[in-house]
Amino acid sequence: MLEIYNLTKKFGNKIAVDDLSLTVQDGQICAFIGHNGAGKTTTLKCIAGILDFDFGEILVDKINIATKPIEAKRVISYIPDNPDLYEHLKGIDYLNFIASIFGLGKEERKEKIEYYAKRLDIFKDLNSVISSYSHGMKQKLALVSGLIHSPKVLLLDEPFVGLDPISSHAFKEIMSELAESGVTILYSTHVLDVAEKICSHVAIIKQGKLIKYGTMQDITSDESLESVFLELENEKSN
Amino acid sequence: MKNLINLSLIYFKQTLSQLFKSRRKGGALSNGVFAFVIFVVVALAMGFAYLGTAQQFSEIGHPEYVLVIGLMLSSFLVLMMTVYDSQNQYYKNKDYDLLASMPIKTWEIITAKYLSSYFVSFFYGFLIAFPAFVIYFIFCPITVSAVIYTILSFFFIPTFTQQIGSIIAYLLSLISSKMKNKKLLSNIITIFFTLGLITFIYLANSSLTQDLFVSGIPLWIKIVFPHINFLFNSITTGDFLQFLAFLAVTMAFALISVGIITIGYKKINSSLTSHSSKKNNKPLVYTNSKPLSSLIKKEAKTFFSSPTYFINSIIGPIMVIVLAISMSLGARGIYGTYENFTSEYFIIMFVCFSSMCLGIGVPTSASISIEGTKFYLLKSFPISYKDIINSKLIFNIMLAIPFVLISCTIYVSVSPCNAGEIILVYLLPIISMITFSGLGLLTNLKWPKLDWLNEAQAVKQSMSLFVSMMISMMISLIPFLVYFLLFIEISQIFTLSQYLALHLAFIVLICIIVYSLLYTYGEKLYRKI
Repeated sequence: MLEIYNLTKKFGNKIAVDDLSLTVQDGQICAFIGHNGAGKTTTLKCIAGILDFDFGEILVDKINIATKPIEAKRVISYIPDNPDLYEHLKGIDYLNFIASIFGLGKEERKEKIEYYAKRLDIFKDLNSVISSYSHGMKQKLALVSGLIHSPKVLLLDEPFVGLDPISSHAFKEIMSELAESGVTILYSTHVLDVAEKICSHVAIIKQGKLIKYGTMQDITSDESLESVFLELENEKSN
Repeated sequence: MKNLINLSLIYFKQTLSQLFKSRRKGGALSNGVFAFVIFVVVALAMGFAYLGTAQQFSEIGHPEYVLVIGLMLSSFLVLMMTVYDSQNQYYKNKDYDLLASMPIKTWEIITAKYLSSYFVSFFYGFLIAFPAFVIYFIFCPITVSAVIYTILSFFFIPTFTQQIGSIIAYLLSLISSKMKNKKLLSNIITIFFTLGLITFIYLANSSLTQDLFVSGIPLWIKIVFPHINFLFNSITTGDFLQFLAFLAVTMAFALISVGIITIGYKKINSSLTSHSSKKNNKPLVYTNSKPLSSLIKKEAKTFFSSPTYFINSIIGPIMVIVLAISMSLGARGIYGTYENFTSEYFIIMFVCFSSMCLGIGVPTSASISIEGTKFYLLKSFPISYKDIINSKLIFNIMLAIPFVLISCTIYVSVSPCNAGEIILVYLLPIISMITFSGLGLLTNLKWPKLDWLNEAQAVKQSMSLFVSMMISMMISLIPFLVYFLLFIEISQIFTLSQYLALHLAFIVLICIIVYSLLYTYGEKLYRKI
């Protein structure tokens, strides 16, 4: 479970995230949407323990990220929007590195790497150097690296960018399976029709403030998520 | 032309921002002030060194030769820097695809890139040359023409050697682009070139002073560095034609170099960025290791896969061995030449200069920056600050320690030292190296540069490297200068072992301060990045 209470993050005088409170229960996939610069990535980075925040509390699986960052990070997986990986390593070296950081044993890492790498169709390329990968292949490797340690909270920032249709479909299935097994997923995206299909909940953020949160059904009713989002954007602007 | 101006302005803004930017309010100003203070300290130190040189030349009635020495040192520094920087600036830059896709002429891209690296070359070149000009005007008559030529020449001093460096970088990149294992080959070629250049600088510097004493400016300077000869003549004689010749030779080389680089720009870049698509069918290896050792392995792979990072960091350790060999070979001759210089003096000199070399290009001073935006990935992992820091420190120590041990062994096997002195000769460079590793990391945490376009920006053009190198040099040289200036008084109070032990206590104290700061204040800095 992911609990955020009154999160505030400032960059100098600019408030990037403003008193944001949000709870995502186990097994929920929550779409995190907002315009560019709304504060989505900053929020995700605060949850992942990358950025310190000025006020508020974040609990990841009941662990406070500010006071127990190492314990909290053990159950988190953060996949950034632009996978900047260690390009001089081979794919398998990178996955071994991540597995070692998370303390995975030899058998467990072999099993997990094979499972996810095969499902995302990157397994045969793991012996190649990452610098030779295409953008989509790097994205697949980043996704595999984020899944092998069985996280309890998955933070995804535009995970489908660069993925081919088959891998994209496979990852949607993986997300659903993980949610069914109780993993909490917070998923930032601009692709609203995909979010509408796979997410159980939606949180809409504007200028750092959470302006709408609820189940996908409650928020959209008979409308599409895109219409709701555009209405909210216009409403608040006016 | 409009494109050239736009591109140059963008590069200029980026260089300034990367040198001084800070997230703190007023941080850029304080960074600028700090850099200026260090600049002044180094310029003063250079000035004192030039003062001694000018006094020596005054004895033969030619104090103006100090200008030749200053210009040569400045040229060597710019040449060394440009060879690495240009390889990254022109050929391994992240902006290649963007620029190549835009309607900009290649020569405009090359010229804009040249102007952007000129700013950094000018900074370092000016730092070394300016004090020599000041000393020249103290010892020689001040004429209107000399002042005008001096001021005008400042802007062109790095140009000639920067172009030579760019052409060498072009040739190195051209050769490595044609090979299968480009990075490895680039490392090997550049390391051989660096060794050759260090040897050349060492030999040239030794012979230059001697030549100047005996027969004035030697012929090889007139051929290899004609701009120095023309500038020196124009300032000392007021000859306008000589100044025109200085400008002409500088500009001609600039045009030739831009032309050569423009021709090979796209071909070399395409070749360097291409990857073999050959499938590797070997079975996957699942290696299990502890987080710390996994981090150390990652550090090692990063280090050996980046030619710029590798070369920049390996120069110091190599110089330690070169120093040991040259001091061991020359020791017996020198003992006989200078009556006042005892073997004790050379032992102090060896430990201080070895420490100084180990402070040059310490890998830790760029180890955060070289991560780039991957640093945020590292930050999201469940690993403590201490593990991340320790992995970088351990790798740095593992890298430097063999060089230090070899160097000290060479030195003590030739020089007359007792058992106590031998232990101290080993301990001092080792503790200094450990101190400078911590210092480098601390400065990199203070001035990280994660959003770079090429590795040279992260490794060489950073406040962290500059500050850690300058502080390391000061820490290393203080005990030597104290011994050198107060030689008689010190030798009456302390034995050599006692003085070295005091020196060790001084370094250990600094080491404790640095590591205390690294594990307390450093963590705060880490969290802010």
